[in-house]
Amino acid sequence: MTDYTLVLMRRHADREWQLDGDDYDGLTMLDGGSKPSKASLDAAWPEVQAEIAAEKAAAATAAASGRAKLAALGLTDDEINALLGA
Amino acid sequence: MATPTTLPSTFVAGNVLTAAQMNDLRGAFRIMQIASTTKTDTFSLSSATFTDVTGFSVSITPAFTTSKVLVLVTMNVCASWQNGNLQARLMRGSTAIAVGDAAGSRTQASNVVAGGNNFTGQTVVISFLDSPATTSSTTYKVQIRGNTGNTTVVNRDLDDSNNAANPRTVSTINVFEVSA
Repeated sequence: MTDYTLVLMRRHADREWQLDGDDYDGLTMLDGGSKPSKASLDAAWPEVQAEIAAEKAAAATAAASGRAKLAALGLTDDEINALLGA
Repeated sequence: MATPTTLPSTFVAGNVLTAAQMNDLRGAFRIMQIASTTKTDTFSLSSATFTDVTGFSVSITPAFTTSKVLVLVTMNVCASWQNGNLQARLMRGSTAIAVGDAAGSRTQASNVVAGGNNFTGQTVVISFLDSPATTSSTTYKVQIRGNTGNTTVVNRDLDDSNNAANPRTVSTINVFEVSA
């Protein structure tokens, strides 16, 4: 099921809108412009999901890389966790 | 304030209340009535203009113009941006109440929740003792605003993928009429 909130947030960031509930019928554009079609939002959902997954993976990779670099400097896991607030 | 502590534990036929006991009884009924709303569905907003949270209002008709109304709001939110905040304000009808003093161009709000973590929910809490000075039906509601391009959600996290790590929550407004 399409998460219209996330699609609108990422594909229509310049628009003002509200969504009552989870369904497309609850979407109201607050800026006076036309409402994006349900089909266009549904079509964008798989792309948005892929973007989010890629961002999470990139963040995890960056965190692991950062830890490895800190460890290479001689920091213990406890010291790294203390620095990162983990 | 009168309290019921001097009242007899049991009344029996023929008892006549003293003035002090009647005042105690009056004090015992300071909460005249209660009204409540619980929002269980979600709401999402991308706007820099204060906007009603749909389905999140409650009405009460005070019995006396001298009554106070205690308003307690708990609203679960999540904001999407790193360098901004979600602003909320309590409304009595179309009037913002429980807001800070005017200070230049700053927004008068009841509560502010910082953005900064895309996937962590936070709670807006508002507690306010209002003096509506009316016996007409009075509606309390909450409005929120953020920034255009930044999204605020109510009763869900931004990461709302279908698994047990992601909650669906409730938000409530409880109002209590308190006699003067």
